[in-house]
Amino acid sequence: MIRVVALATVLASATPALAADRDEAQPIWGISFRTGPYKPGMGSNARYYNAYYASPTDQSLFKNHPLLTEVEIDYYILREFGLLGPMVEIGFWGVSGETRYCNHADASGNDVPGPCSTAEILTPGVSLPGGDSTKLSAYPITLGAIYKLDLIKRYTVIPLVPYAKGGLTWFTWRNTVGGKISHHNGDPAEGATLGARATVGLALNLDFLEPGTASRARLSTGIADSYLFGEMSFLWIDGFGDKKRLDFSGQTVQVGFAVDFL
Amino acid sequence: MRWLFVAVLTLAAVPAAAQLPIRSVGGFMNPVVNRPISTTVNCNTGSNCHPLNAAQCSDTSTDTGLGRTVQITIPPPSSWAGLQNAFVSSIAQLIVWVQKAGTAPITDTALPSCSLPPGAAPSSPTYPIVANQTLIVAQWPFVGNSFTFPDDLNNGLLGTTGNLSITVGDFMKATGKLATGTQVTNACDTAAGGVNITYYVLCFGIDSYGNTGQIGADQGIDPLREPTGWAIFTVDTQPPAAVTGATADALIGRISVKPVSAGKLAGDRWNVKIRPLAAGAANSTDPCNTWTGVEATATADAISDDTVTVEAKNGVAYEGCVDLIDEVGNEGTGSAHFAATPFDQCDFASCYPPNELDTGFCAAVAPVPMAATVLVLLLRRRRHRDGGRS
Repeated sequence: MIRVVALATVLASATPALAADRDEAQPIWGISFRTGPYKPGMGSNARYYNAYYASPTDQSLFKNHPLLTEVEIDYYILREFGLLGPMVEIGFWGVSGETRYCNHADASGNDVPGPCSTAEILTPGVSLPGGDSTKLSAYPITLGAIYKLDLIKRYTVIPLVPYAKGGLTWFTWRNTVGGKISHHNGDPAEGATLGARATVGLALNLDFLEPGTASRARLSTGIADSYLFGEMSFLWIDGFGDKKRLDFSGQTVQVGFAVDFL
Repeated sequence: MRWLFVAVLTLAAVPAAAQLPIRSVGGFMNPVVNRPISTTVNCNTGSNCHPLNAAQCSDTSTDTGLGRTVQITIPPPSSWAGLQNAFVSSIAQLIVWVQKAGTAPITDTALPSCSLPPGAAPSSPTYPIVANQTLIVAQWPFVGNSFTFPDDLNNGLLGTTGNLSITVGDFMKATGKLATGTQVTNACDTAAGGVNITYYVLCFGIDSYGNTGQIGADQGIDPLREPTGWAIFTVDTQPPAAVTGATADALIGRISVKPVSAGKLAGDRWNVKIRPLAAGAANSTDPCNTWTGVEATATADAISDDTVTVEAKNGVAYEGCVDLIDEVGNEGTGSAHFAATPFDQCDFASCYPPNELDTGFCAAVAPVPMAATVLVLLLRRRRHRDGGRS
């Protein structure tokens, strides 16, 4: 116990420059950019999704897990014990694949290519790649709250800021074929699925690299802090149980860069 | 020495615009205007000019149609570099002539092409005159009035205030007030030397004092002092390179074609044609550039694009071919014919398991405005509290 207290005391007072953070004005808002691989679960239709968009042969890093790229804006309402406030995120994700077709015999017994049934799509070796490109794109929008535990950075020499955030996510999506929007039952193949999202992350404050530059930036441009961060998100995007909405639930690990402003 | 010094100063001080007119025999006078009009119309790059290509040169209906003609439209004088003024008498003449520049492209600095060495015969200059025509001013509506060049040139020629349009066919053609010239050369004649691309310059200018006769040996046309203008046009009957191969992929409602040509040049475009294949018939063998019954075509830049996609109907068997078209519309030898039948295929949404997918945004929207409202209320409460403290 004594050792812990001694260590805490040393950390709190080791570097006078960093310990002065506690006296500086706290940021009011921040912006961040992040990206990471992502593959939606698609619920009970995962195999159907894989028939178009999952490649068993191409195992390159982002082929089956394309990048989900997002930008986030935070506003800190409470700044006394960490930073707490609302946040909004907007992102983009897309996966490409090929159309599928099946051969069916006509009246003369000749094979005629055409669309497949669901069972044929799901049966390996029955459907064939069609050569036309098809793409599923998603544009998630999240409204929620974020809390950054920046007390460690403020009161110690450790430049780390753990954080957590969560909110409602609206996953808008669009399916195209040959560059034009596809159709389902005659309607344009686009829609949205509502769900929830929770994220935990750890940010590394970059002031320790150039403390002088950081101080000048704070005075001249209003940049309070800059970070590199990594985070893990858990997405429950299934329309809160609506089985007729595309299920974009899944997990993703993302890395990015953030800046907080005064 | 003092008189010499004064004379030198006087000569040097007289601006060029104040030179007195000098009558020249058999050619253009030197009017008040003293510098040429730098109007340029380059049929190689402009959109208001229609050069002669191989198909047009093959059109023998030259008397009534536009076959074997080059119609050059010169922009309104307001866009010309510097308006000139010249007094025009009742015997003033507009002279239009065409000079053959050869096989090398002419740049926009071709104005000197319209000048002939003083004393040179029309047939011996660097750019030989191949046709010319003279229009007497008396036929114009403003005899005796001051003439603004080139504004009134437009009015005189067409009776409009629009673009100056000169139709040159064989090279001269009866158009409006222009009569058939006495010197006519067939611009499409490539027999001499077998040249397939030839560049020409159309020149025109005002002879304000009505020197009669054609451009003679003593015309002394000087582009630095005489009012004149010019336009470049091309006779290009050289076809682009042949397309040596093409593969086709049947897509949904489209056919994607990948052509191959080793000799394609910048400015060439792939030209894909498709037509329904008669049931049970093998591909035809008629040349691509003579096809009839074409249902759809598509073009793409031959240098930047290696694939051309043409719209087609699902379930219809098509035959197709592709050739190259150059900038003036010449078609090259086409590829061997190919066959393709577009058909409907499944994509992720179109063949989604039945009754398991709702599209549209409405059902998922309601909670979002609720969340946005809560956010706005929180921000307003915060702003109100901060305002109270200050």
